[in-house]
Parts: sequence; C-alpha cells; structure tokens
Amino acid sequence: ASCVLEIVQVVNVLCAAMDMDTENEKASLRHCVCEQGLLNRCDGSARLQQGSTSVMVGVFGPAEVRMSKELSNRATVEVTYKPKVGLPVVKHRALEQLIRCTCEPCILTALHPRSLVSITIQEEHDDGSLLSCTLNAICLALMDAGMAMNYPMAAVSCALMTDGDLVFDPTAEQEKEAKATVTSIFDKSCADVVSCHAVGALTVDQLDRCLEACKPAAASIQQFY
Amino acid sequence: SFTLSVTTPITSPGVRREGDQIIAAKSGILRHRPPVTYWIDNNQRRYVPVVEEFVIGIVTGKPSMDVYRVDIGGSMPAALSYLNFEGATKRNRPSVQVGDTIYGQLIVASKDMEPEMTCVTVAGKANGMGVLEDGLTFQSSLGLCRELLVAESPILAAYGKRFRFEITVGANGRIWLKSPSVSQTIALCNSLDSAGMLSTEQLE
Repeated sequence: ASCVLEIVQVVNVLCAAMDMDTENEKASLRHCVCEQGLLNRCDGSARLQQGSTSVMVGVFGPAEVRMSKELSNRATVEVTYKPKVGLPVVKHRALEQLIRCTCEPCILTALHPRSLVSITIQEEHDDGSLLSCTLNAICLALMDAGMAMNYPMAAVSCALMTDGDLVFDPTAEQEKEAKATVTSIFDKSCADVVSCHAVGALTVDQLDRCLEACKPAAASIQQFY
Repeated sequence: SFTLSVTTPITSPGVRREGDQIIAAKSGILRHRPPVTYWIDNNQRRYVPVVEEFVIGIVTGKPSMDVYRVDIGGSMPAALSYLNFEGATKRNRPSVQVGDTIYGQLIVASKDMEPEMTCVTVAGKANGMGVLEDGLTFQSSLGLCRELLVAESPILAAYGKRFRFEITVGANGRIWLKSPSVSQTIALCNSLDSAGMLSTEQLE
C-alpha cells in the first residue's frame, strides 16, 4: 500500500536505550461508542465517541460535481472540517487535506467517475486523539452510506511520553505531556500503514516503534467495525 | 474476504474481485446463490443508476434539444427524449411540465455516461410508464424498495388487505403513493418507512 508520511517536526535525538514497558504498551483503547444513520439528509452519517472525544461525520455521494472539480476517471473526494468553536482556520484546512489524502485510496473512486464524495466533519468535543477518532468516524459514515470501499481503515493514536512509555489513545492531558503524538492509519490487513501523522520531536526509530505497536490496536478497531 | 476459485468473472453489487479473492466492498449481509454468485445486501439511500431498472424521476429541466432532464437521485440527471412516450411524434408532443413525476426505465446507465431513460417499451407501449398524476412521491431507502418490489411482497399484501391505494415503487428509492384521501396518503407514507424493519407477524 502507498504510504503517505507527514511529519511536522522530526529531530534526531541521541536517545538512551529505552526499556519498553510492556504493561503500558498493552494499555487498551478508550471505550468506543458509535451511532450510525443519525442524520437523515445525509446519505451516510456516524457519530463516534472515543472516551470523551466525540466527532460527527456526514457523507454525501456519489453526487453531482461542479465541472471545475470533476475528474474523468474517478470520483472527487471533498472534505470539510468544522471545529467546535470558531471558524475553520489554516490548520483545519491542512487537516482536511490530510484526511482527503488518507480517504481517497480507501474509497473505490474508480466506480464513480465524474461525481463527488463529500465528507463533512463536525468536531463535538476534543479530549485527545482527535485525528484518529475523526478517521474512524469517517470510515463508519462511509459504510453507512454504502460507499464501496477498498478496506475499512483503522486509525490509532499513540503518544510517546518523556519516559519512553507509549500511551494509546491519549487524552488531551496526556497529549500535552507527551514528547510526540503519532496517528497511524492501517488498511485491512493491519500490516501496511496507509498514512501517518506525527506531531512533536521523535527519531525515526521511535516512529517505527510507535507504528509497530499500533498494529494490534488497529486490529481491535477493525473488530469493532 | 475469502478465497474462491472461479473461472468466470463476477460483477455483483457490493463485491469486488482481486485475483483469486472475492472481497466485500460494502457493509451488509452476504448472500449466496449457488454455484458462484455472491452479493452484498445493503441498505443505502443513494442510488447508483443501473440499466434496465424502473425508476421514478422528477423533471427538472425544460427540454433542450427536445430532451427533458429528469432527476433520478443519482449523480447526474437522466435524459428523457420527448419521443420516448407512448404515441409521441414530432408533431404530437407529450404534455410534460417541469416538476412532473415520471416513471420510466433506464436504457443507458453506466458509470462513465449520463443515464438515459424511456417511458415506452421496445414495442412502443407505455405499460404504466409515463407521467404519474397527483399522489405523493417520497424518498426512502433502497432496501425498502427492493422488498416492496419482490413478487407478492408481504408488506404490500398486508397493506392491501386494509387500505385502498395505488403505489409505484422506483428502484431508486422513490415511492409514489395515491389513495382516496390526503390524510390516508400521508399516514401510509409514514408507516411504509418503518414497515421495512418489521417482521411478518408485526406487520399483521
């Protein structure tokens, strides 16, 4: 699978050998609650709550597309992100692009040329792991809409703490204390990373370790689907 | 996904083929008709035009070059030529206005082309197709429409025992309903929406 890597800050740090604390690594994901089909004007919708982080997603498609945006061989995917407070700013636009690049290979766009798949995300509450909650909610909404998909994508966040521990599905407080937070998205086999977004300072080895550790968590999300 | 050795390619709704494997592309119930036909039954609201399906559309555009634009709920409006009505000729044009409800059959529907529909069979007869007068058109899910279109559908049989009404079901999720009083029409519409979920005993 193609791998889209976006690293905001990667600094080569001489790190001392870190003992992996296996108990912490097996820390489970927060309790997930999902509702599908709650918006009746959308073709598909879902609300996902991971702990206190809550996101609602509405999907339209395949729908009519403006001539300027239409693609002759596949569907155009459009993502709109609405923050809880205030108007969308530049960082939300960047998030929209990241989400769009992650979702496009996931949807079978070749089945619907010259049409539009429109994904609208409303952030309801951010208590950490917002990106992974958003992507999982998008996957659920796409399934509710009956969009043909290549694979159900599973997104997992993990935070690398200053003492070397990995915390899965971090809350907002844990994210603030962490050295770095990595969100990785896996395809159905959970062996290939589809996309990865990291915020903070971490070495390539630490990134690899995070990605490897997230795989079992992604498998449990696939089970949830 | 599971491995199946098949010699002929299968294109069926909700399922795609990757080499030897047949992989589900949508979420739903996997159905199997022996020997090798698999498909996914799902309940979506958005219609993707399929050729030879009967659909209910609403005329949205005035005829440009003698072709009406009909909204069938897909990504593109369908084209309906004014000659595709029973008894229509160049001099005898059908009386179709913008906003009319049309019941017709899709003759061209592929992912790359704009869909085209017709209101006559090959022999030139209408067979119930054409403009639907009065009545109420409403949108429901594709799954419910498929259930109603089944021959001797239990839902319609149960309703038919108690009420007098005329119903046309489009494969695109649209249902046209007409009954003697307005309140009865509305009541029937509301209950049909939830009827899809009920089992046979609950219907009674």
